[in-house]
Amino acid sequence: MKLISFDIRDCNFLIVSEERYFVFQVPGGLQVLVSDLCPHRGGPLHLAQKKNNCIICPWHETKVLTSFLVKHAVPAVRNGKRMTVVIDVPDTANVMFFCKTILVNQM
Amino acid sequence: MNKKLFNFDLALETFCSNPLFDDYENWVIKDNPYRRPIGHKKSKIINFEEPLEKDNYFSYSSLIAHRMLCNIYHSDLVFLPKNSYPSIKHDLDLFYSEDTKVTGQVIRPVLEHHVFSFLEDEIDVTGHWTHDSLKTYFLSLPEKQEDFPSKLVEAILSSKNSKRAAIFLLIQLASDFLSEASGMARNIMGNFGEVQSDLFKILIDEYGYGVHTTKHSTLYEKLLRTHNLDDCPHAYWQYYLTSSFIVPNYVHYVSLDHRNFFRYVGALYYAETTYPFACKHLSKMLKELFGTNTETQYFDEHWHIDQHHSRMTYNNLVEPLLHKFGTYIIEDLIRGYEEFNLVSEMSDHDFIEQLHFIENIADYKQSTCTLDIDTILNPGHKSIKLKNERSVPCVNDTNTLLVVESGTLAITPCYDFELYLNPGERIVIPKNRVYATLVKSDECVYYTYEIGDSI
Repeated sequence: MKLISFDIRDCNFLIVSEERYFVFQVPGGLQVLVSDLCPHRGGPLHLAQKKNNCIICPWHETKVLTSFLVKHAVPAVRNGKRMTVVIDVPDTANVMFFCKTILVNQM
Repeated sequence: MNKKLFNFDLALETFCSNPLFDDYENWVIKDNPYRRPIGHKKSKIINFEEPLEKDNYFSYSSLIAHRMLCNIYHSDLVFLPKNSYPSIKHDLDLFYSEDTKVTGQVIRPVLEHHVFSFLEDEIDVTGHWTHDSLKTYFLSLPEKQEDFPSKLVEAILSSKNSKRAAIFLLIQLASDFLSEASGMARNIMGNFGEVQSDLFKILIDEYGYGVHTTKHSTLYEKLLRTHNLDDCPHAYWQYYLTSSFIVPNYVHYVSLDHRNFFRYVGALYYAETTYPFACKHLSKMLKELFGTNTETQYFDEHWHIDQHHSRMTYNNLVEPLLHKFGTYIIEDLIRGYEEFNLVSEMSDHDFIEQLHFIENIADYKQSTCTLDIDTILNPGHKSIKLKNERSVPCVNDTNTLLVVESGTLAITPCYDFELYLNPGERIVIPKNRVYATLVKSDECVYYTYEIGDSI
């Protein structure tokens, strides 16, 4: 397992061994790290639309419950602006950090 | 027992009015563990129901609340004077009296909310944690500590008067180390299986396995005496920074309410895993400053034993608790771990800021030369004090300009250091920095002005 730490002011999107994750703002203020892949066919959930208690994938309009995202979020700890996550990959896995526009957090 | 004392405001007023918590005539309180000035000015109204925020944590209300909480927590602990009984029997009786205890317990939850609820905002534990992910998270800590320098030690060694800075640190640590493991002892009573016995093994180590000379607090007393410091608990109460209270008060806070037991275990793991390295740095620092033969047994003992305690806490507490109670407890374990991390960091940062103030206090005196009092919009507060009148150390919530009109006033930002101000002289006290005043002349007239950000 690999521990990854980052400042959430500088990074909101990760690629860990080619798997994509983004920081999702749950209604109510909590920030969780979730897979960017829609469970249907892998569409980019960071570009989804937020609607009521779901987000809607831009590819096939699959509705993914917010509670599903929270339940399956990557194990993470936020301490101030620092987030540390534990991802099930070898310690030597490659990690890339990005600061992107997360559309789903903007609505 | 007056039932009206169960009202918060009345309980607060009664608690603060306790003669034991009133101003004390000397800076150092000799052989009386019950005299602990709170320093709350009656004229200053504090809304303790409003929680503190991390960014402005070391405020006036924070210092006052933490002093009160320490007094409340310590009323559960046994302190006996070394030599001054029965002359202070009255103080002992008053410290442990019903009124003191009850008023303390009435105000305690509100004070705890005031000083600790910011932790809920600062720390989130999210996602689907498993046993394996927790293990990875926790067991990464010892490795991280190996190469981690101590910012505290670096600040002391790079200061203009490193020996004074080191002594000042030893005084701050006395707030906790002279009653070491008292918070831990709160978690040992009752009946909760094999984990209880393993926790007891750690506790009994802290108490030297019943051999007084090896008890950790005894080792710390020896260290203080080496530097000609008083080894009685809270002799230096008046020099404690807010940061000297925050860590031990946090431990008492999570230990008093056993709903927080798993949080306590997470905090314990963090403490036992980071202390060896902190103690190794401190031992090395003392040798560098005071010679290779200087007394360091307290820190050397912790470097050795806490490596075992870290392993014992993980293998014999965290793992069995996880097996028994499942992943439901992971959030609390991590929360305790991170909370202890955060309060320790804040404590170190506050000490370093105070050190910076002490080191550069002459500049704070000089820097006021160009400040025109006529431009300060708020009226100053006039103080007229007589010789040897002293203030209880306090902090201000804004930058404060202090101007001496007549007489001589000493400003004390730490133990064994005074800066004199003569007529016409002024100094800016930065906000959130602890300081006290002592009148050196027959009479002194001085003014204090809140000056906001203008320095």
